[in-house]
Amino acid sequence: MMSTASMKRVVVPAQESGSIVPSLRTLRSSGAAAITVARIAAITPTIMYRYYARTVTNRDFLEQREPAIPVRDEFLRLAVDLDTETRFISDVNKIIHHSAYQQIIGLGHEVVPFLLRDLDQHPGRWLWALHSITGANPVPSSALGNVKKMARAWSEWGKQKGII
Amino acid sequence: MPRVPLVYGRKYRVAIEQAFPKLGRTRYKVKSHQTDQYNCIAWAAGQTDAPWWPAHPMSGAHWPDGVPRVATLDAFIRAFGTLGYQPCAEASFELRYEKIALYVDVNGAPTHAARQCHNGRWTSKLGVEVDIEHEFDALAGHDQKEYGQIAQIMKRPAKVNPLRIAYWALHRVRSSLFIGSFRRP
Repeated sequence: MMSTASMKRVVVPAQESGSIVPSLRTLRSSGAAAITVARIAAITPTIMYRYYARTVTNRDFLEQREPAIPVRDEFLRLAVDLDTETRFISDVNKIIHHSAYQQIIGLGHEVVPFLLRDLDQHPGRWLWALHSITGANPVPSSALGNVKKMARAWSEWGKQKGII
Repeated sequence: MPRVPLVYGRKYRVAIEQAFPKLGRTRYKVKSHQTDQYNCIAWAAGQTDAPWWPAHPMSGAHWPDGVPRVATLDAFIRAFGTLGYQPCAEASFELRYEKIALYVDVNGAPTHAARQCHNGRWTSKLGVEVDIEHEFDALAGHDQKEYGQIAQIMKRPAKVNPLRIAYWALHRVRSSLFIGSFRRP
């Protein structure tokens, strides 16, 4: 025996019954779909602007204190590749033009905190990458040609900017 | 600062010998820890503040003033010329001279430099790895990651001290008795 509530749900829609007037249920679902489309249309420029701001102008770089974990993983993987393939090479140009080094530069501002932290262990390795990514030049001319002093200047720069 | 012992085990030496097969057949010693603060050119020049290479100064590389920033053998000869080195033909151990050897690859581009020690053997920095003391041509060759061929020897006057005289005399005795080679059987 069916209850009254169940019986109400099996009412045949207006279109199926041959009427050209849409039922209330059809109107409601169409209205909901239209509202959803309108909402997506309204929010799309915002999403696109945020994406543009992040990828093109990097305007939220300084606020991003903890970069995403995948960047760290990618950095570590590329650093190991670089180590393995250039460990016996003395040619500085060859090292900084190595594909792994270039990919690390390509990771952009998000990799800068990792480069700055690694200066303690490898003071000479990331000087060019830091300069290349940030475009900054915190090294005084008196420190050029001295890897430890250059690394110290970059660390100070990172602290002043609040990156490390 | 505590002195960390130079412990580079079998695994590490195998990695070096795979890159430089001739090393495995000769005697060599690891003389420093790994560091990327300087490279082989700086080590041959007696500097450990920065790598020497004709690269952009912001990369950390040092290059002597007045020498063209191009990676050619001529530029490297001029760079060592600023330290008083002059080209010469002989790589033998001379009492009054210290020497360096410049290596080039198949295209004639410089790849490496080694410096003669006060005991007549040669010392090299292997990229960003360790310094080693080795025999003259142990790093030469075109296999694996070897540094190519020795293209130029340069020398400059050395300070003569009793230790150097003793090593030089020993070297002369060994040479005359044909026991200069340290090659393993």
